[in-house]
Amino acid sequence: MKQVDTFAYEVVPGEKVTLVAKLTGLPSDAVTVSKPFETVAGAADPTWDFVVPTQNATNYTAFAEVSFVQPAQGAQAVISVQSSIAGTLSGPFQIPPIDEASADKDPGFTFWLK
Amino acid sequence: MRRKFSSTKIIAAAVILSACLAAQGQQNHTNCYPDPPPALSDEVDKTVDRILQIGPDELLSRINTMVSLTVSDALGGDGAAVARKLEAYRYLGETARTDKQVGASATSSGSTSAVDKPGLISLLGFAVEHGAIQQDVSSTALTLTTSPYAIVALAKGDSPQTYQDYSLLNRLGVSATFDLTNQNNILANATRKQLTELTAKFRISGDRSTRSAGFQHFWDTEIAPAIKNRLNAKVDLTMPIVNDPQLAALVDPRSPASMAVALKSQIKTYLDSHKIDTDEKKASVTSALREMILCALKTSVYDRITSGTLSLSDNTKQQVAGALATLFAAEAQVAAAQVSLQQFLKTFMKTGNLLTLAYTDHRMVVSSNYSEVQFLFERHVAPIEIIANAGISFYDKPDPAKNQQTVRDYSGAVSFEGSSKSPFRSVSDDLSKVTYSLTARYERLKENENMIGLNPNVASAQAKVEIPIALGVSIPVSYTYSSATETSMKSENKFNIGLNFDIDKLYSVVKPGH
Repeated sequence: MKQVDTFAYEVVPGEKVTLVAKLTGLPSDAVTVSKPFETVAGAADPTWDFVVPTQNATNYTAFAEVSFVQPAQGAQAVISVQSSIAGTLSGPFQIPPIDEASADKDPGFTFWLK
Repeated sequence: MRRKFSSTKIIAAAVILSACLAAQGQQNHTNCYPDPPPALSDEVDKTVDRILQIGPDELLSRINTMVSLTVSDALGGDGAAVARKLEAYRYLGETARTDKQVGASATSSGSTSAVDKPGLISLLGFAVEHGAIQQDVSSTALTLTTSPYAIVALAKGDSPQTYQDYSLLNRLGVSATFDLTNQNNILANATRKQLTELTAKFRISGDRSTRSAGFQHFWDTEIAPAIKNRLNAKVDLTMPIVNDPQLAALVDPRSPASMAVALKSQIKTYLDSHKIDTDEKKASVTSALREMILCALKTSVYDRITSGTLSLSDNTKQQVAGALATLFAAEAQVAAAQVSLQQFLKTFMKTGNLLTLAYTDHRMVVSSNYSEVQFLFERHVAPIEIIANAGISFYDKPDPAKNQQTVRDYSGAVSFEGSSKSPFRSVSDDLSKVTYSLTARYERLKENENMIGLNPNVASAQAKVEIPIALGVSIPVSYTYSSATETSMKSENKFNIGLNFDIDKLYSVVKPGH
């Protein structure tokens, strides 16, 4: 995976893309992530992943939304993007922290096929 | 110094400069996309706000959504009608805030007397600044509260994992109250000498926090699916954009024809040359950036579609229109979830029994120090709150000359509390309510047993109502009957009326930007 921009990444078929949310003062399900990502159970931090199909792959978009319902003081979410393919790891690439005052709490990501 | 510029760079700079000037010139006039759909306008506003918070990179977070809404608007027909029906999206939680959550915890200076005073102040100051200790200052007292969890969270981070690993510590809260003598350096009052009360509370049952299992279950079953459906609908809406060759070229940052890259560069140049050091300048820059984005969308997407320069496949058109209908339904579902969340929070914060064991060490100036152990019980039985306390207190060093024994007293109290909408609400932000309560209390004072002129049994009843009469101003009125007092056998009738000013509430409404 190559980072093109904070929210744009270049991927190849077969690559596993992972989103990880490091949360402070928030419950573990404060972050919701769209398709094509699926929740990874048992991870220490809330984690989602998807594998770029090896056949009929397209460009992909995905969104994550952080909810702040009666958050603790200083609550924030730091989402990072990373990937792996054939043992090669890329990232993590971190997007700016999202807190209660952030105007954009549902950032969008684009994964462009190389 | 290098003074050599390539002609390409000069042309690019001129284009950017003219675009900036155009945008700046337009900011007070009708923009080139005068009537964008409300949802598009909202996306642009959020993008601009985030760009001002973080930087121009934030543009690419929402560019696909902005382009898809512009495409829908340009295509006309049912899709455009739906695009215009979509409203500004409100994140869950923004409307669901109830009262500020009262955090538990904090060790106070009184219990760590070995530390010298300046060091203690630094330590306390650090903990207060980082949220591990909360301080409450009244005109006569300083109260510091914390929990062992807050200290652990300060060291390890308040992550869901930490919360789970140390959940037991979160049940424990401690607070210390000090006499306030130094108004200039508040934390300097936190000394053993000025300590008047030390309290530890352990929550035996009941958890009304949004991290509790009860709330999480509600969230996972009722709210999260609605959010996920909306996010998935946004994916459906933006996938045609990034996969249509012509539209993808506009938003792909790798493309030489990328509108997104040119716009980002334009925004960066503008921000580099415009300082935002006043509210007026911020408003001006906000307006200019909004114009830049809307103009780019209008000229690069809307106009080209309506003029036929950019011809989209039927498949792309159908996908966008279909996704819009799905997004519209999903946002309605989120709006319903908002209402459901507000309703749930209202009742959840009062659900079940809350049972707490409290220990308080009273440091008396003229009398003997004593400790108090209490069970505090709270239950909501619509429409009232029932609060009951039962306790026993002990003298640390009973004074036989005053007929004091180890046990100081037994006490019990029950209170019924309720509230109703205030008829005097002056502004919509004022959520003050008329509160009323009926309280009965009984105390058996052991040291008054067999003492002439004193009654060991002290019973009292109180009726109280507090009426908000204006924003942050209320009148408490109470009547109390006591069968005796701690120092007299005579019964007592008290009628009190006062005037309360809630400075925090006043400030919350008049603060800048509210």
